[in-house]
Amino acid sequence: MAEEIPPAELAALLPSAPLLIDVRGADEVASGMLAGATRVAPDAIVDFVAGARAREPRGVIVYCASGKRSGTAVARLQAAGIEARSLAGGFEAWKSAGLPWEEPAAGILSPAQLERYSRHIRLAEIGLEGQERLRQARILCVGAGGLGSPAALYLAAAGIGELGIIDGDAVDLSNLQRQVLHTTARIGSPKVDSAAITLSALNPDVRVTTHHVRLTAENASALLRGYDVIIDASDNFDTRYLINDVALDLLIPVVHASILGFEGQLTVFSARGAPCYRCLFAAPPPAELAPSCQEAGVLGVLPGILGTLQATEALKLVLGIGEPLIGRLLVFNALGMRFDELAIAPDAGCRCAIKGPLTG
Amino acid sequence: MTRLKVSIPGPLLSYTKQRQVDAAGGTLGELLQDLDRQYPGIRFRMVDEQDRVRPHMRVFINGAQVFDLGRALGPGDTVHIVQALSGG
Repeated sequence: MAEEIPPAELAALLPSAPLLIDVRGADEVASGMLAGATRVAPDAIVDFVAGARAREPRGVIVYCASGKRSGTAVARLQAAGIEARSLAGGFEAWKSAGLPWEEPAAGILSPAQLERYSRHIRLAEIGLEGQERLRQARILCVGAGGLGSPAALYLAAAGIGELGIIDGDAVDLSNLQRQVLHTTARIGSPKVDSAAITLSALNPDVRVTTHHVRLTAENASALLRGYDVIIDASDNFDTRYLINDVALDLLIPVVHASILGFEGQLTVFSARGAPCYRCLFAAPPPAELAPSCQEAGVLGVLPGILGTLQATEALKLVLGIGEPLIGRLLVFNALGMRFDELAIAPDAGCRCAIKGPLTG
Repeated sequence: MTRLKVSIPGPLLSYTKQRQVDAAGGTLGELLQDLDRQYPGIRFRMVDEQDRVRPHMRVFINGAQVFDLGRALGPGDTVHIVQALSGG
């Protein structure tokens, strides 16, 4: 039996700033959460807590809606040798006790938000309704590196409601030539923490949810579930195929980009009957024929171009405007300053086709 | 013989040193043979022992994906060779 803490006792403990973790899904969190809580997928909790406590030792409190899932999460932490307590009765008991919690802003934009987003609202394709859609949207950025930096910056600036960031790495001096979310002072910090500082400073309206983990077959489904759009800003083939497969199962569109040297590729996998990543490239190249940016180098501004294009496509998907880059591969070369558009042929034998095309 | 411009992907620039090269051939297969004459070894990076385009390489003629090396080429066709990239 996981150790529990009653709501009133937690309320008295809050001034000591415990590590407060919400293990509910993104859709549940939208109805409100405890101030200062971080949403963490249950599968990722041990890694997250171990990392957070290594940086700052403090008490750990986990909660969900009713106390059941948080109890399981606490048992998992205790099995890993980490002391933690589960909020008895969960968020529902907390609310029933009349204790304070944060409600997402009401459906009407505040005067400050109207001013902040005025250039969006002025566009016929966005308007007040579109800006409200952006505020209700949840976008997950896998990777807070070269591509993820500009993508997340522009999505935060645009007023996306929840921005999830997954990255298991720490900021390195060699990242700063292109990864504009991070700063020299934050070398050594987890990239997700550095990203959260930058993004929250840019736009406090945005709820930044961070996951200091590497995406794995075990945690991917829990981490991706509940998001409206996924930005594939990862840096390796294993993660790219994993994102494709899990997003297909969850019917979440993926905005894909990849880079090397002076060259970049961009496309959108809609998860609904259109070609997927496996249709485009059925298998990754052998490792010895697939140089990374670390080995082959990359022009610093290149991910800036591709990452902002990813943000553009993500906003179009959320807003339902324009022609998303579905079934089309955009190939960019910075030296020739050329964009070429190529048509991706659906692979009839691919798992995305076998699942059957979907509409809507 | 049709002479065409071929776009080379970054990971194969070690062969050609140039992003765009000229090659000749009446079919895609012949064009790849000509590329290999000019840049020995490059064809095997794109096509396997069974003459299939490798799964991480894609060939586009006039922007459309082509898997058949027998595909005929005409004057003015553009050929793009694309390799999967992982960097982010």
